[in-house]
Amino acid sequence: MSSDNLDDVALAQLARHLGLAKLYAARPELIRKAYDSGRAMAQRLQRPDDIADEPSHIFQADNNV
Amino acid sequence: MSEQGFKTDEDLAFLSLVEVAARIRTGDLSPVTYTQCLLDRIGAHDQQFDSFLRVLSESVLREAEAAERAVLAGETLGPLHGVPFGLKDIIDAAGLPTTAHSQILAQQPPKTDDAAVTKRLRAAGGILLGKMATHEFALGGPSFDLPWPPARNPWNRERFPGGSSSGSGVAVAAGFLPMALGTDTGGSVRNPATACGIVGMKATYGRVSRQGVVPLSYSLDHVGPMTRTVADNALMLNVLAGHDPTDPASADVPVADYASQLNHGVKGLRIGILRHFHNRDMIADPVVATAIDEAVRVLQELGAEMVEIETEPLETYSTCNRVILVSEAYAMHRNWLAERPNEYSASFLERVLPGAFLTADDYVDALRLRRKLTVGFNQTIRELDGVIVASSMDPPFVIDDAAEVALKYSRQARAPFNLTGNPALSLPIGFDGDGLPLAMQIVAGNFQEAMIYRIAATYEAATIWHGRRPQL
Repeated sequence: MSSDNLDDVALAQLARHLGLAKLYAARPELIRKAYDSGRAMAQRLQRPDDIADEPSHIFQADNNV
Repeated sequence: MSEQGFKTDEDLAFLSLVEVAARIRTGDLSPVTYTQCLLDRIGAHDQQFDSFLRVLSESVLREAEAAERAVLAGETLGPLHGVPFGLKDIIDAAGLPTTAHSQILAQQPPKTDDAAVTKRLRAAGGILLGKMATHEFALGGPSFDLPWPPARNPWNRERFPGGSSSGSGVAVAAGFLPMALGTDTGGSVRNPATACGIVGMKATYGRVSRQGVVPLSYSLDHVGPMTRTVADNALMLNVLAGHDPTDPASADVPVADYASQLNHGVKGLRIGILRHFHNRDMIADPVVATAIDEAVRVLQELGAEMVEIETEPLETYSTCNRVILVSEAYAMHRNWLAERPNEYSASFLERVLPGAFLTADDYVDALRLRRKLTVGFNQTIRELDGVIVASSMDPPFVIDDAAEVALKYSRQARAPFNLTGNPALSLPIGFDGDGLPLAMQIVAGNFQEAMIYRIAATYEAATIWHGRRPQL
């Protein structure tokens, strides 16, 4: 997500796009908290810096890593 | 059938799975008597602990009677013949609904088929006694806003029993069942095993089929056995392990005899100790750290060479696991979240909704990191027979203190091995000053479950912890 500080209007719009309009209407604070938590998680994620680092794809313990 | 006398019903209820199975096969123990003993115990005590969502009193007794007839008729018997088991209620059993402890699925019709693991337990002679409490869809919880209450710890009902396979852990620890199945996506077999003082195994990813199990996170989900002893756990994994072409992640790798090395000792083994997870990355309660130190000392005295090892910080693994887990869980729940959000518990919503706000690049980068971490961890342990790792950083906390749950639920070192897929077992290593269980994990290379059981059985035989029973 490009902005980590969405205002309420933008957050409501995003929630609607995601199909969470019902939940946002009833509990906007929950959606705000989820947004903050999701973005904080993404910030904490240590991202590989080598473009050659491939994903684990469909992960299988002995033949995919 | 002849019966060997037991001093009390409690002694009968706490027989090990290995001993129950052996006594039933030789006609020393009637499966009907044993099953009735468990049902009586559940009837007397489970209202305090809420470990069962459904007790199948009638059908399990019918199956126990049939099992007894088969013994008397001299039929060929499976390794679990006549022994009752429990299923976390995200695992299918034909003729029963699978509720996932959620209102979302509460009105679902009964399943028409067993999950692959249910079939395997039944084919080995096991008889289904009940469906067990879980956290909602194996993610929320402990929740007090669902149709069923959360399970409580048999060592102290005010304490959290671990989750999400809570009911399975509680029932095995309380002597309601000799074995149960749980599932583990971020530690959910090993967490209740740790908090309830029993043995819980998350085998290598792909080792045990997940067909017929409600998914939480497709690439992190595992199904695992929960028992009171190491030998019991090995017996159960012997039945569960194997390739299943109907599970796309199932590994087509030969199955070892997991009980074959239980008496081999640890002399000469090289065992790593991964200390920085609990003494630098996330500071464990001193009682946990001391118990791990003591367990390491025991293994050393038994002849193992203990080797300090280092890997990436715990937080690196935990965040990577969480990004993948909530992304995949959100994708699965998206339609229900849009249409029926009010039917979920508050804690489920709080845990799954961040997945809505993770992007495709967040998810792909987490998968890229996962591969690096997996390769790195396996490289680090390549010359080791096993690794000792903390499980929970704290003794079981107060279950209905929301602030404490929020603070301590994630203080654990189990999620790294869902990410890497390595087998990991939770094993009791003592009790704190309040009589609450403490545990450590033993981790090994992929498909090295037999070695984990060997190390665990050697430690277990040298210590007294597995013999303690909660006073209900």
